[in-house]
Amino acid sequence: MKRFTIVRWLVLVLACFETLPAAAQTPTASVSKVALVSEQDAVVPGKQFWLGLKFDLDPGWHIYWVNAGDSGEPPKVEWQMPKGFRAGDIQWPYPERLKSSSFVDYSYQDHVLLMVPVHAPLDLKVGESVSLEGHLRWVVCREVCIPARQDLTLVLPSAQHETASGSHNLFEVTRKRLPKPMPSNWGATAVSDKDQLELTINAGHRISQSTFFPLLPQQVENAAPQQLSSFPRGVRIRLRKSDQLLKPIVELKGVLVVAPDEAYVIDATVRNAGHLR
Amino acid sequence: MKKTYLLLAVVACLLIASALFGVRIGEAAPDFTAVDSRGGTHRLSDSKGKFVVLEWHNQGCPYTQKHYQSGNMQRLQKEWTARGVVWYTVISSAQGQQGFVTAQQENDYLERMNASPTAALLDPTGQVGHLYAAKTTPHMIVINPAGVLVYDGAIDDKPTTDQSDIATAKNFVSLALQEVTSGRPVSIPTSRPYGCSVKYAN
Repeated sequence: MKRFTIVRWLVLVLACFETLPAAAQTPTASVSKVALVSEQDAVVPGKQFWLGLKFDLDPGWHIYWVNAGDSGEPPKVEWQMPKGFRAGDIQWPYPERLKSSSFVDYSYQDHVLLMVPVHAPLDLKVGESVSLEGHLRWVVCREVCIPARQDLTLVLPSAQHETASGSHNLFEVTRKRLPKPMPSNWGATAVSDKDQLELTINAGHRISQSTFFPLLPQQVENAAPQQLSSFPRGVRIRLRKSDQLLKPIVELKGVLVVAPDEAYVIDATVRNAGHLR
Repeated sequence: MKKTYLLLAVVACLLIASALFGVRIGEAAPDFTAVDSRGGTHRLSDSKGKFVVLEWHNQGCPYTQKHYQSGNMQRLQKEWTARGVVWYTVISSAQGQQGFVTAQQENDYLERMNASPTAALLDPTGQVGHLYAAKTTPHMIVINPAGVLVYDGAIDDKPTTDQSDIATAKNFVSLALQEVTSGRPVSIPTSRPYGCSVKYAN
């Protein structure tokens, strides 16, 4: 089995090396499949609707969150929308910490939907067909990384009313994994102390489990263990600062996952421990 | 005997600590001895008095390929070694891991790619890689003639695999070398290194 795997990687690496200029042009159908899907079956003039980049990855392969972590890069899409259409930013579901030797990447495995809000123009004529197009670039990695790019197209009719498409459920499931704004009665503060950052979340109730995903690269050491101390009104998380930090961190931004399908955007002002004493 | 163990323990702790914490800008670059693909031995401290570039490398990584198939890395190697800079390509893939090469394979590659680092250091134990907390291929380090780390990070500001991005990218290594060789401080001393992860032994 092991030998088979090594041989497979060798073949893959060689194939990658020999045909890279060509491979860069063709989708890597063998390990990652991507399709452009819509939550609704039609576009309604003047309304917002949701498109999704639907990734299906072979076992063991992963793509990256908006902050990729120690290696890799997030997928990027350039839209070619009809006149008057406006596509927003990708809404990133919370990722998982993927550890390999001494690194941590923030990744997605198996299946993920990257949702994008799109605004349809008010002057869109009902009955027309709308061609939504995008050029997607991404990198999919296992022991090796494979860059890929693909042109995606989805044609939808414009109509007065829309109904759920076949992919609707996937959007519903994914929406639960999108980080929500932090509840207004919560508080988030951070204290910088030597090589540590201590993030305190005051939620009004005990948080017994949580994982913090930094939104900005180079603030915390991704691979350093996160030390949690739960208390009756929330949780404290000790993070190790990045070795590459040259300036003090004034703002710690990230996503805090406290339970499956429960994630919040955290934006904490960082105070210096010295000032508190 | 006990003392030897203690010493070993201290050395091990220091090694682990340095592996965990890496080196910081403005600190002394840790010394190492490594063997290159042509059988030569290199000790970093022998290059005191010269600028040294460390380039983490993996010929199967598309981010590395971006900079070699475009000729970008070779151009940098030629330009700076001609100006007296010592340029070490470092390969830290462990045996059995993706990107591991034998000396012969590396020599063939250097010839095929027309690459001209001062030497390609074979680091299958990951000793040098861990000493500098090298994360990705490529990951670039610049050390000044006093043996102090002056740059640690990415090769440039376009973290992609696209060769077409090179023309418009700001090359942090060129910038750092231009600045330090003209006696100025490095304006961008760190950046997030981008690329494939270094394939250390598990």
